[in-house]
Amino acid sequence: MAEYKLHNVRFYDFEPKSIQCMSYEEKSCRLALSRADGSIEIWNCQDKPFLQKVLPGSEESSVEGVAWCGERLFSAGLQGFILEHDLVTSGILSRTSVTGGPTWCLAASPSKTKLAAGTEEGYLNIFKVVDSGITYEQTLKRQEGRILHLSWHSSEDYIVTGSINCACLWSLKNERMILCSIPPSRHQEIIVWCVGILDDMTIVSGDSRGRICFWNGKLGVITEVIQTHKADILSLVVGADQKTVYVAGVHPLIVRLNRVALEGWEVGKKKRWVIAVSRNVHTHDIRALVLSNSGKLFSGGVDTVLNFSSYSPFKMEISFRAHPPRGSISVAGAASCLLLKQKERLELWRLGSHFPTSEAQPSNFLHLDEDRVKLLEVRSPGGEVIDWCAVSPEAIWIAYIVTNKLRIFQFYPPKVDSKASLRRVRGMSEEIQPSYQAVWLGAAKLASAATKGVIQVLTVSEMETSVERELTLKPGCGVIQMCASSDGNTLVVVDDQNEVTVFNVENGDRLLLPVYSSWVTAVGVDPANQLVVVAYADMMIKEFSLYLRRFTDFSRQVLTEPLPQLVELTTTIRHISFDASNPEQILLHNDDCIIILYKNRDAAGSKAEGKPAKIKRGLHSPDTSNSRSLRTKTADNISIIRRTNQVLHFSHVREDSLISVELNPLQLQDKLPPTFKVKKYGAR
Amino acid sequence: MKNKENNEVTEPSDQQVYSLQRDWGPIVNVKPVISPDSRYIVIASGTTVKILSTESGSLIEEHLHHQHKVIGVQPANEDEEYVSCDENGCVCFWKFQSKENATKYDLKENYVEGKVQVFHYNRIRKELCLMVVKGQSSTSLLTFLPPYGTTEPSIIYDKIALEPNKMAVSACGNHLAYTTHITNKGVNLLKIVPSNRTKHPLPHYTKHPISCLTFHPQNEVLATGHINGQVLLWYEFTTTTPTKMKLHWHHTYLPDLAFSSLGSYLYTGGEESVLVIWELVADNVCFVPRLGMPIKFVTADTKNSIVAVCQLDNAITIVKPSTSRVERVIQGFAMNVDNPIPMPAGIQYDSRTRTVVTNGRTGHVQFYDIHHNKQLYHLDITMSNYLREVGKEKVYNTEVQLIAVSPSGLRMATIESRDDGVTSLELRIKFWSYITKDQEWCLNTSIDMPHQKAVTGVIFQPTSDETSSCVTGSEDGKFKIWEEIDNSDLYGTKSVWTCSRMGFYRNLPVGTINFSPDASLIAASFEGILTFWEPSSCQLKGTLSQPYLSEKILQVEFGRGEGCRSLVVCRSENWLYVWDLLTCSLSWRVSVHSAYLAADPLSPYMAIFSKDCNLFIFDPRRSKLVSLQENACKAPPLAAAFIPRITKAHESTFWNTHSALLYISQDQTLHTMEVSRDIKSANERIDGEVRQLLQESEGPLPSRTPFAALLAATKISHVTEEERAQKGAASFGLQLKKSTEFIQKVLNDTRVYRLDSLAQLTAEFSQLVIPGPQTSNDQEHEDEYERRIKEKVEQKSPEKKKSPFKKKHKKDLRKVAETDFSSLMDMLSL
Repeated sequence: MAEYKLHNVRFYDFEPKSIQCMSYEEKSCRLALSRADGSIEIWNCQDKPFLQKVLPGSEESSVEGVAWCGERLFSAGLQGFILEHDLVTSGILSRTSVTGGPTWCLAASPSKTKLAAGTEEGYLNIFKVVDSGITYEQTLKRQEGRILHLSWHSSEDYIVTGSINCACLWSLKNERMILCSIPPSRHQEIIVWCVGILDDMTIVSGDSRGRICFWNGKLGVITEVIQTHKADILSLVVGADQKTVYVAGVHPLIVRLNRVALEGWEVGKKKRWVIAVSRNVHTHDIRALVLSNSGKLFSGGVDTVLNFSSYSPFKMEISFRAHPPRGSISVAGAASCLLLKQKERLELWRLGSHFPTSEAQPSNFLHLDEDRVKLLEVRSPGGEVIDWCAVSPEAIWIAYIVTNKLRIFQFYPPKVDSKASLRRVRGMSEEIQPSYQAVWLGAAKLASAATKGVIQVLTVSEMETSVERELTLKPGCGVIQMCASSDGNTLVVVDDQNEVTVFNVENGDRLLLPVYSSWVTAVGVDPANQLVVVAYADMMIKEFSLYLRRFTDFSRQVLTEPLPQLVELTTTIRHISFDASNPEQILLHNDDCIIILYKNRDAAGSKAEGKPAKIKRGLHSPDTSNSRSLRTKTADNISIIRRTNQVLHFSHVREDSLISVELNPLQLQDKLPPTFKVKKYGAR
Repeated sequence: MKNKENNEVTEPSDQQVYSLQRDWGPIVNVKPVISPDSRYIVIASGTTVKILSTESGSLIEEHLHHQHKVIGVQPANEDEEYVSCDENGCVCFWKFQSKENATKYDLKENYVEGKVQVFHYNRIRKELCLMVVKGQSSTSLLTFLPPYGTTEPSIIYDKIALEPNKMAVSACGNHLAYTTHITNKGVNLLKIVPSNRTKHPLPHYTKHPISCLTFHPQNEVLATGHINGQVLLWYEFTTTTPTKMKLHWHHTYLPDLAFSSLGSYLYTGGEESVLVIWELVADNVCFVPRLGMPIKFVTADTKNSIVAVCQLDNAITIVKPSTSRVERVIQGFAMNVDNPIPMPAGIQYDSRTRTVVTNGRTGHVQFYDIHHNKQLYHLDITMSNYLREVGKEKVYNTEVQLIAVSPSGLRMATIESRDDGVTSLELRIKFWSYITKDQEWCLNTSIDMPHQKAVTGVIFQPTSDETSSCVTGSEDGKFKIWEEIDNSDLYGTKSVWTCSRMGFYRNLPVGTINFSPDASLIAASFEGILTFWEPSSCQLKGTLSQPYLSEKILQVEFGRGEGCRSLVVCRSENWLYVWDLLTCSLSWRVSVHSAYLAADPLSPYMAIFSKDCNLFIFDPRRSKLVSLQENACKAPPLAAAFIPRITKAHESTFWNTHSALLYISQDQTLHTMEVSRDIKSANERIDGEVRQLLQESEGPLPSRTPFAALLAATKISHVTEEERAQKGAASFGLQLKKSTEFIQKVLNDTRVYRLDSLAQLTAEFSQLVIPGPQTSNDQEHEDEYERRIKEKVEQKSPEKKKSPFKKKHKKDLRKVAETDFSSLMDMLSL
């Protein structure tokens, strides 16, 4: 193994936003979650959950409810509109206004043919989902107070809503309402934050006192009250077996209530709800809970972490930390520069450097002879949120996208006699279509994913930008991810049909990689050997040779099934890069590890053992002989370096240097509001 | 004594010395049962089963059906029939307050091999469950169905955890739960056996080992307690994925839990000395804190009126769950748990209350009345909470090391110390005075670090007047004489104890200290040297030592009685020797590995217990033995003393006529040595197997006390007076005289603890006995009353004809109905 210098970048100030609401789609195992900045993230949970796509939001937009209707995603917020989102281009397909002003909640009916929205003024709107969008069906009589949450009965004839001091059961057939009112205690109103309904018309409500009430829906009387939390219950979800209810709220405790049968001796059979499990997985308020039919529970809230847990038959919990969307970090390898996207500005940094001296002892931490320099800071005009940014390998060209508009700049780095300067390329060709992703193909060439499923290759000069070529995907496909080789000749595109297309930029040839059952999480292209490496959500890695037009021998012999060391990891691979001088290595990373795959090493040793080896080792070993002995001992074709910080980006820069952009979790904790205080024994 | 004197036992007679248990024994070793009417509690102690009253705490009945240690008592059915089992597999069905013979089944003969450890009786299926251990590890669970002893039992062989509350049978008898240990993995397994007993048990793994379990009395719910203090409620436990509800308050090992009879409450108790009441329906928790000592068992009754909590110091606390208050404490001879050397203070005698004073629960001193087998009271000396070890770290509590009671019984000195070997020694001497007016002990003086090192002895000067001084000796080489001096000021008369004099000898540590019976001499031992000092001036009067008696002197006793006054008896590890003070010479010595020396204050005789459990009685005048009993006790006693008898023993030899030899055995029970022909007569046992100790009549009276009987008697006498129609001052005086006579008689055989509170008694009593002020109006009423009685008598006696209801009579009746009885009601409810 070659020795590398690792640039450990810890100055990227990424601020994740709290999770507002979630919705799960059973068929494609996709989870939509909205954050406080109005963006909607699509997580694919078919194998290991991973962030597939981010629909950017604007500062003033709010999303209070998301709902899947089949493959279609709807959202509603305080603007009073129900929006249908285009999952390919991140655009908005339709916009329907809601009676009653700001919308607090949105829910799709069990058959996914109707949408119900509850509003500030107490109107319950029912919409029908049609091909072109949604059409208004009915509005129920106005009720007192805002509707905070609603839930459909499985028969679709009833909707239960949560409001202030009461929960209401609406019959859609005759528009009648049964009021389940909770008398306010000591003139303090009780907010029913969340409701649910069981098939046997039992209404479940969670309120601001931290109590779960079970109601007989036919009579509107409380049958059982359970104090589960010490503060407001914000979310509850009813299990598909009708026997479990998960509850969470301001008191960050996920409580599972089970309905149990008491086989009495004299009394006879009786049913009761009991607290079965209570878990402390979040640090802050839990805003949203979602349960899949197979019993997987997703929870999210103010602490910005998406938690995936399952309680029966085995307990497991995995946390997924929020990470910046694609196009936030761009590395200019040749110039060893780093472009970082903050909310409405870009920062270009030149990385620090270390000049090795002959006497210098190799150590874990190298002294920086030249400190990092902030070369440039670009602010978008009018404070618009930047969606995407890219820098060319020589750091001459910078492109960013604001509301699908592409802007290209030429950067003159600072010299001895002149300061750094930036000039916008004004002459944009008329043919350039609105774009949502952009990747530099070497110098002065930009691949831009247009909203219509077309990739435009643009030639950029000092004065103008023109379209050189248009590459088209299969009809109906949208670009999810693009990756260009460093020489700019090859462009790999992952589309939303989970197909990987390799384009030759020179002549426009395209090549489809064989389809695999799991979803692609990362692609990388090695220009020297003309290899495409694809990582999948089940931790499978495949290597495809463009010369031979088939999977390489390494892929066929070694990577026949997901590597056990990788399967152990909780998060999927997020980026793949190569070192041209060491073609036998593939550099990978996920949320908390740096992974290096060696193609020339024998995997027999570890496979024979059958136990995944966990290797924790610094890149700069103090003693090379020692490190060699270690490696020969493990005889491993993979090396996993666990990082305590969250790895946002890891790639090769140039020569023998690597870059790892990391985020300290404590940095995030400082920005969060104070947690709910629970008195603990022995602590003040 | 062994080498030559053994042959010379003077009184070869058929009489033998028997060791008799004087207290109730350990009453908290087996989980108790509360009778259906909640008035009695059934406990097993040793080989007997005792029935105590929950209202007064007195012993009602003692059942002696078993020859071996009883390991469990269970109710057999709804009406006061019980079943008990001993460790040899003898199961006995008997009835409370019944002369019927008990039904016994000896299951050992046929099926049970090894020792029975756990016993359970299933009332619904009439099934006996026995857990048997054979050898080191072979355990089995046997279930017998009636007729017992003839049908084959069904047996489960498993690594069963053998503890009494680790097995339970569900309410309807369908399921049986027990736990197993898989030791090498540390996994605890809960197994549910279905009713047909043939299928394989259903296993449930638990994260933390189970410490106790019980079933819900009504529903199919199982509750398990764990070693980390949490309680799990298992719902739907017959399925493979039961719902578990966690209740966690306790922080350490949970010894026992119990459901209320309807199952709406769960009672748990543990080492925190807190009874936790879980209200299961309303998710509410109540606490009964500060019960004093860790809880061992919790039992609930069927009426949900009381909960019995067994505590480590041999006490059963009766708690009323509805008010979360302690109703009563049934206290046996309090055990001194958690002390490496139990009962360090030995046995002291309080002549005022005729009780023995010993260590009780940690930091307390108990006054135990051996004549009535009752703890009078216990006194908190250290006034600190009892702390139990946390995890593996031992917590040291301050413990009373030495007690001395003045001869008048009005002063007491206690030495308390705490030495954990890490921090510096804590030592405190406290002087207590008994305030006769308030009838309680009051702390007079507390002195921190009276000595630099551990105190080895404390004793009061045996003078009869109240101003006696006190002597303490310590390992720091000094003995100090403490005196009570007047410290009165403007606000009242006060006294305080201060050190007045001090003595030391060659810088040697003081071993033991004693006063001569005439209070004229202090004997203090320094290693092997015996020194004598004058108390008033602290002047060294003389030293006695022999080069071959260099062993540390452990006990010194002055001879008492005729011809012994000049003799001093010393005990060391291997020697017993007597000095003559007149000649200052060694009178005699014998070699004996002794454990304790006790001297009779009323006779010249002394008793010595040897390490191999032999008892020697001797007279200090000569080395000849007065009496010898080999194997008098099972283990060397912790402490022994001669306690003066109230009445002379009728069947005793001369050496224990005046005093009874009392000792505390290793298991902390009180025993006396009695000389008798055979053990039966010594134990005063009656022929049957049931000993009726107190005749509790089935009257409707709330409390059957002697005063209640007295009240009843006076009422009757009043009626007879009226019938005689001899109303007047003279007759009333006669009545008063009669009742006072009766009071005197009652008071003579009254025990203090059986009385109702004074406030309750006096009002009613004085109403009856003291004639109220008489006005003319009253006189008129009385006259009328008298006249009416006369009429009534006339109506009744001559001819028994039915008189029709007169109008006047009707009116009278109406008057009665309309009269205001509130004053009467008030008086009654006082």
